[in-house]
Amino acid sequence: MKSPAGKVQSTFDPEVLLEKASKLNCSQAEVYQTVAASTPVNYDNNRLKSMETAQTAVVAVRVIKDGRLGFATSTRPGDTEVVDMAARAAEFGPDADLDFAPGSPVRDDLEGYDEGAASWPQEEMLAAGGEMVETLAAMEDGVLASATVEKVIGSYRVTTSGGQDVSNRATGAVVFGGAELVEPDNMIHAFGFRASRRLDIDFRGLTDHIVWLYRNARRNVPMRGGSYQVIFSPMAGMDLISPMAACLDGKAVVKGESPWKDRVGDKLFSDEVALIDDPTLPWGIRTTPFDDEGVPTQKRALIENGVLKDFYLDLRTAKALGRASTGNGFRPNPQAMPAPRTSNLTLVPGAAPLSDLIAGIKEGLYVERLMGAWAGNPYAGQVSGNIHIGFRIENGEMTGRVKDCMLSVSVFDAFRDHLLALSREVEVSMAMYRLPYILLDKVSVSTKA
Amino acid sequence: MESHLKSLVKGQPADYVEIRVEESQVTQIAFRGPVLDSIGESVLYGGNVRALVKGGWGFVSFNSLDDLKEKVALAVKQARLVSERQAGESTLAPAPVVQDRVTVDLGEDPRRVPLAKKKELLEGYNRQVLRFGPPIATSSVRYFDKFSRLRFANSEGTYIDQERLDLGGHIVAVASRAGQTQMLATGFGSSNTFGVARGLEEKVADTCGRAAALLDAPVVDAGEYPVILDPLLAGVFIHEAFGHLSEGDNVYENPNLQKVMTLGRQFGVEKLNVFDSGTIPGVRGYLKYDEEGVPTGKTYLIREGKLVGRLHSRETAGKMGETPTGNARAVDYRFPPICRMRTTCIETGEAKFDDLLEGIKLGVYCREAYGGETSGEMFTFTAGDAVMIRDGKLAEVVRNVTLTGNVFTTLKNIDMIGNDFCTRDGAGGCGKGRQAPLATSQGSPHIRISKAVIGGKAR
Repeated sequence: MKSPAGKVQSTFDPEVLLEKASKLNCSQAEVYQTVAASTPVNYDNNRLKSMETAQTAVVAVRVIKDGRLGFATSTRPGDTEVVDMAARAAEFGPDADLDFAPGSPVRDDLEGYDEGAASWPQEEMLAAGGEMVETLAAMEDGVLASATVEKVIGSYRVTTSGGQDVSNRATGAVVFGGAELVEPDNMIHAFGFRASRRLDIDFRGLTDHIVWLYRNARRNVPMRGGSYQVIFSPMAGMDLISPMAACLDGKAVVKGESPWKDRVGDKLFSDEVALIDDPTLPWGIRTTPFDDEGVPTQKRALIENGVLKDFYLDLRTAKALGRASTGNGFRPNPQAMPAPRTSNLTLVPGAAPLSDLIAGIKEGLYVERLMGAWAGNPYAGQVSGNIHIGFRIENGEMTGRVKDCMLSVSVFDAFRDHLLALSREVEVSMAMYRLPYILLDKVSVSTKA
Repeated sequence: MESHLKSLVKGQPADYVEIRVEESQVTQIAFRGPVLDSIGESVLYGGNVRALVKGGWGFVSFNSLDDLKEKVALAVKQARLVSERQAGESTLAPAPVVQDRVTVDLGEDPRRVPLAKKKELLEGYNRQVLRFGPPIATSSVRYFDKFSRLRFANSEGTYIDQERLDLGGHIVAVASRAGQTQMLATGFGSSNTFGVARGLEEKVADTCGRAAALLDAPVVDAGEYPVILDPLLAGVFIHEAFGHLSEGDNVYENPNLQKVMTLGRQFGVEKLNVFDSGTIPGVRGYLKYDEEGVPTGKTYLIREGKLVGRLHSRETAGKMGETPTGNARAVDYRFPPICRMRTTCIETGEAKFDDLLEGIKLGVYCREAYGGETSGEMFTFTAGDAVMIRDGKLAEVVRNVTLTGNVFTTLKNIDMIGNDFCTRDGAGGCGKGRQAPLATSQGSPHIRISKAVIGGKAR
């Protein structure tokens, strides 16, 4: 490309779009735009498969017209018709129960753009992926290894008729690695994922983790149904934290769906449970000085010492609750409306190393990943899923993989009555939550009769 | 545009080059509770170039159609870099050279239904759920339609200019009482008419009634049972558990999986027939050409219990010496095509519903799917609701029913196939890698599985 992708200029001029909205008799307008370039290299089945370049530029416009909210997006370069579309949608839109962000300063000292990551040479990306694949494939004949190493450079900008005009840029490095083995009626797929805003990815650590998973999964052991102590990895832990995040979502509170809507100040969980949303975390994968509505972000405790402190809000839910936005209005993708979402949501870790947690279990399980556990009803806190990758622990030792087992946890009860420990290690799982390993007691495991 | 695209892919220093350009118009409406959550339109505009050099792929996607020549050159350069590091061979199975213009055989055109009318219709369903009364506490309704014009040109001379419609939605009823919450949904979808969104009042009423009943239902006892799956859940099962395993890109470079998935291997009873089709009109999985310009068809995966086929792209078919099936699909212009399903079905059988119940002393009748996931030979999915079967008769409703198992064992355990085949569509779609949601459909009659593991309350 002619210019570094991070410097690619958006083809949408917010001033022009805001002016057009005003001409169309919109009382307020907001322009969100994002430009991103990503370049993944992909290894599959032990070999280099493809190199890709993706350039995307999206504009999203929200307007308020006659007291109603309209929304439209476009990827057509230089599109100004998008304002007409938003104004048209506003005719039938919901009541505009918000004011777009007023002009206000945002922090400029947060770390999220790394020159090193921006100029990460493709040669090094290829070498890093190649080395992972080589190590994983060498474990055993028949293993098929895969890896994706991706660099992302992006910028985003929010401009409102209320005078806000903020922009920021970001870098990201994303690495995925996997090792697969197929035997008749027995398949192993061990994989891991790391993401960072700069080039501090521990490739060795990721490879070691996948090798560790694979070796433990190599032997299948029987497991009897019952109630056990279970360690949830940060990846499996996502399924436990998701129901909490759903109940803390301002939208669920406003709609009355959250069972915690009237319980701020109540003690819900045991003392060790603290959930912090921290958009200021240095080099955090979701660190940002302002949210996708242009509102300044802030570090906040949602649960502290097991006590419900607060919810996370965007502009609409904040207004409905008669409060200010907490700076949590994020778009799941540039084509979607902002909604409450956490930034770097962290379950504060404990003191013990993972190895101590494992060593302390007489009979139990280590669960790396659950399958289908997201399918439950989050507000009920009932999580049940198939143990995709999980190991039996006997007398403090991993003895092999358990298969065809279902696991069921009532999350809200478990974090109140059955939380035994949180590890001191913390990992970011799938670019969402930062979690320690979680040890719960009395987890129900069912298996073939 | 046509001559420009054709000239771009010609004479490149590559074994194969293709270019795709997409222009889509999307409408979305969502209610959550009594409030309209969002209503909006979007334009998706962009394209991509894919190039193949000695087995290595380069792929470039973009929004701006300026400098297309440079983008083609970049894709070719990337493919070359891959091939230089990893010497290989390009093995695309031959596909017919096609010149075609495809329009949608429209019933009711969603583009001619004003936004106000769409909103009004959905608002009606939303109101119906909310007025059902306690214990129905709240609702959620979602609708989208996407009308696309897709242009495709490849270096072999194929040029296809096709329109495509995808629309879908769902209506969710949420029942709640004393901290307990249960929800059920009814979905709809189509590739040719807005009409499927109309006249859903009876289904909505049924959904509300069953969601309410779930509140009083006990949690199912965990264990192994004979189960009957309704057509929707059976369709999700065959998609999740077997369809994904049949995707050529999972198999073509995996000698061990090829041994497991050897054509001719017996996977189930003789009555079992499974196919994946691009040609069932009206369903979301309908597709005349895939994203490599290959005409689709009806592809049998299992015939009389034996494995007979799989879902191929040109590359996976070429590597395996098989025929491309038109299963190379991409969610949109931002992604390269990969092996994906279209409408995946268990073919109709002969058994009546009562025949399936007969002889089951204690079992579970599982209806509708809340979600499903699969990895290798393991699958898991959650039923919307379920009814215990006692002494061959339907008994009480139970909740929290999640099924899990080994796909090969479970396929073998399908012992009866119903005669009430139907296809089902919803608001969602299939996800694979980073590409979701892709418009797919499922079809099946009721089926009976002699034993399956159900998770729930430990006994």
